[in-house]
Amino acid sequence: MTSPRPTTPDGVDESALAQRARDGDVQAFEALYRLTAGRVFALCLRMARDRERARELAHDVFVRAWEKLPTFRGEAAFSTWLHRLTVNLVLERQRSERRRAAHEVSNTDRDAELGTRPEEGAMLHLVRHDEGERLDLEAAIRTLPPNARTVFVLHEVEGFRHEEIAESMGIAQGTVRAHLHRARRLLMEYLT
Amino acid sequence: MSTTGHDTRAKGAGPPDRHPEWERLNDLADGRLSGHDAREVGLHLSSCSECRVQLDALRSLAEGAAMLPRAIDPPDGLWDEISASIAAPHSRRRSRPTALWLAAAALALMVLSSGLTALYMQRAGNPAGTLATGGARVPQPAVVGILPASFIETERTYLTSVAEVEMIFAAQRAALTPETVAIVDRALGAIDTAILEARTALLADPANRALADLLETSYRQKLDLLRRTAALHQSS
Repeated sequence: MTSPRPTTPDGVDESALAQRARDGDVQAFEALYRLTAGRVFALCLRMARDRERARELAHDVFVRAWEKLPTFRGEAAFSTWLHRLTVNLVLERQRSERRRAAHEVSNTDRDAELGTRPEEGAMLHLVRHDEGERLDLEAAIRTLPPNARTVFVLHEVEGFRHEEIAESMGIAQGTVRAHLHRARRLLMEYLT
Repeated sequence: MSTTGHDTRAKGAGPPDRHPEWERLNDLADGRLSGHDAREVGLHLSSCSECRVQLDALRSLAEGAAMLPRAIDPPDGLWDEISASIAAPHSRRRSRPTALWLAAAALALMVLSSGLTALYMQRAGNPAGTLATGGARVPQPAVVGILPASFIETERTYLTSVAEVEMIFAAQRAALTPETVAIVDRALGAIDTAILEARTALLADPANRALADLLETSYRQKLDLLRRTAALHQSS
């Protein structure tokens, strides 16, 4: 007896689409894009903070997914595989950006890291007053320093475990906890 | 609600009347405090409303984060950018062209090739005295000249590559459907017209870099179309 093929809530056979896309069918890949783009974009946006940057990252995620599809064995659902690929790509880009930024440390960069640029603060506070609670939290997340934001999003929003985050980011679990606790403190201060 | 108070307080759980440090309160919220420590912090909480408020806030924050939408609509046009990237010649894995794609590409090439050249020739005062649209009229080379030296090698390379792929295409024609062959022939005709127009204009104005780029683009389109057609046959 074989287990039923995984389908989306809309009844779309995701694994069949992935198989066709693996064989080079762009229309099947587009169908997979329609199913998963919202989730990928949400993760990119929360981790990148900037909408244009998130667009670039989401683009690169799907291009890489297309290139890597021949290695997709179907052991996990395509969406799970893609989600992991998204996290890895975003973290990889963050690491290389950080290496570049290490050569250009300036007061501006430090302010950005601490989320203390005055114009940004003013903008986010406008969002707080004008929109609802959910947008409050989204805006607050964007003010977090990069590592704290990454850990918070992966743990609290995406549900990754500490050890998974530590492995993906190449840091100790204790460091993951420290970033998480710092993120929570900053968020609670912001939202107060 | 203030979280700063926990920074300045004693490390560790300490006696029950002292506030637990921020890390321990987080660990309690996460269910990561073990037996004795959990009991000790719990005892403190039972008599400290300030810490209970902090713990509730931590839990609310986690609940709020878990309830954020998993999906956010991507920007319009993102798929178009992705599909262009995976179809690009430098892509590590090329898409398999479909007849539908080929028809769309052929139409786009016809419009683009004729449009670009027409635009240039209008701006340049129509030096060759001809203007083709969609291959309806084939321009006659009215100007004799010499291609810029820098372009001669480029053209030779393209002509060699095009000739190679044309031989493959010629051998595969019989295996393709008549509709596909018709589409490809129409597209090739449009590109050849664009090549002729751009080449004629370049001969008349050899220093014009934009014309050289236009001619190279037309050659590249022809090569790309022929290669995709060959791939279509191989995958069918």
